[in-house]
Amino acid sequence: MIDKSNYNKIDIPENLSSVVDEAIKYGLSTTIKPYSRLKKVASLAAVFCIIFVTLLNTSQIFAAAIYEIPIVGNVCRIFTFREYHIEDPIKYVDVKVPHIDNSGKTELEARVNLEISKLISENVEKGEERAKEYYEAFIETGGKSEDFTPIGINIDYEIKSINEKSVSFVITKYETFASAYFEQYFYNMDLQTGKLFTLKDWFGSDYKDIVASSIEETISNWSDYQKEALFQDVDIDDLITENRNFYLNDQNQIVVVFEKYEVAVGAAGILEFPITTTSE
Amino acid sequence: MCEYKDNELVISFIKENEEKLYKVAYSYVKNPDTALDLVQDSIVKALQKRHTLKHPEYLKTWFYRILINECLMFIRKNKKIVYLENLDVYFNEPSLSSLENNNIDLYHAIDHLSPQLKTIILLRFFEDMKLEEIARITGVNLNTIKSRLYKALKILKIDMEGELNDR
Repeated sequence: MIDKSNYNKIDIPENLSSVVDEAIKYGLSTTIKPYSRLKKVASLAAVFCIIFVTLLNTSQIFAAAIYEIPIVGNVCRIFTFREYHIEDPIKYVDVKVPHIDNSGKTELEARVNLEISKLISENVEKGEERAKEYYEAFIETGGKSEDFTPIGINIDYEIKSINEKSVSFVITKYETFASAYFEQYFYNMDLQTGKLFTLKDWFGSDYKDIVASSIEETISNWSDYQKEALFQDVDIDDLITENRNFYLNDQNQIVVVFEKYEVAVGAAGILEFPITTTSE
Repeated sequence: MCEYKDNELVISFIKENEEKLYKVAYSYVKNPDTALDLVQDSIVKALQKRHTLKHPEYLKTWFYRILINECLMFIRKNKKIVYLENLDVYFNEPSLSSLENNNIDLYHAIDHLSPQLKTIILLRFFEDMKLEEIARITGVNLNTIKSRLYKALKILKIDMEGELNDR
């Protein structure tokens, strides 16, 4: 039998315990959300999925019982229309497709729903392609297929605010292995006009000044340490366009979002600025 | 479900086995800092993805699998790196009794196995795991494990005999 005394003699570094504690803390705080309490259902055969989706679509009671659907005065709601999980040696895919319902603006609703499902399927497709390319490269360079760690593709959504007047939500996508593939898609629907609204629609034609000065004021209150993360050559004014990403939070406040690397170093992550207006 | 309880379970497993986990990582990479990094990364990964642990009774194999995948990934990415401090260990072998010397040779021989075979020797003889557990950790079936183990032992024996014959 193999003598393992040398193995047992491996020196244990003094800081092992503290490293482990740190890792536990970090791991817990950055948990990747489980795709839902329905994971068993979702991971069953596709046939079952179809039945499930049909049920969800036809029976409001069933749907409401499973998901905590935010129903505001029965006006508009967003629920998980479809969710699925694929797992194979190359990838695992977790997808939640949101669906807007009862908004009272059927045309807008249909358009947004269609756009969402297109956006999601395109993203999943691209992600799968990337995973496949990565896998093939891995095999070609002498890796064994059983050693390959599957690439994760995760699409989820978050409702930022929902009321009689507007709906604001964001679809997020990330792929493990390349944090650059984190993307957010914001949808802000005005239920009175039946349109997706922009910063210009919200703040009027002066929106550039209003938004930029609010952001600059926020930044001026930052500590020097925080300010150091900002890129020097970025002009906030230029970045405030009609296509700027933003959402409406539940305090009816516009929050402008800058992607990673857009205005600051990567470590600063995604930056969000709630906009306060002096006039209001 | 009972997520909180599951968390506790994973965390206490990690805390109770931290030294073991470190030794496994160290056996692959032979460098304390790298081994610490790997332990750290696998803990973070395990906790982030703890919902993939469907049966708590497989906690041990589930965690080892993550750790070993991390180690193998690292080795693959860093094939060409040889740490100088490791070279020292090879060259400045202190005078040992012949028995211990044989032991060192065996350890060298194990280190020269392919990572795949090494994993099996490591888990079977140093971590005292059952072959079924090893099969679950590595995700290959039991018969493959058996034949790999046999192959590894055969290589080790040949390797050691080779060493002896040279003298």
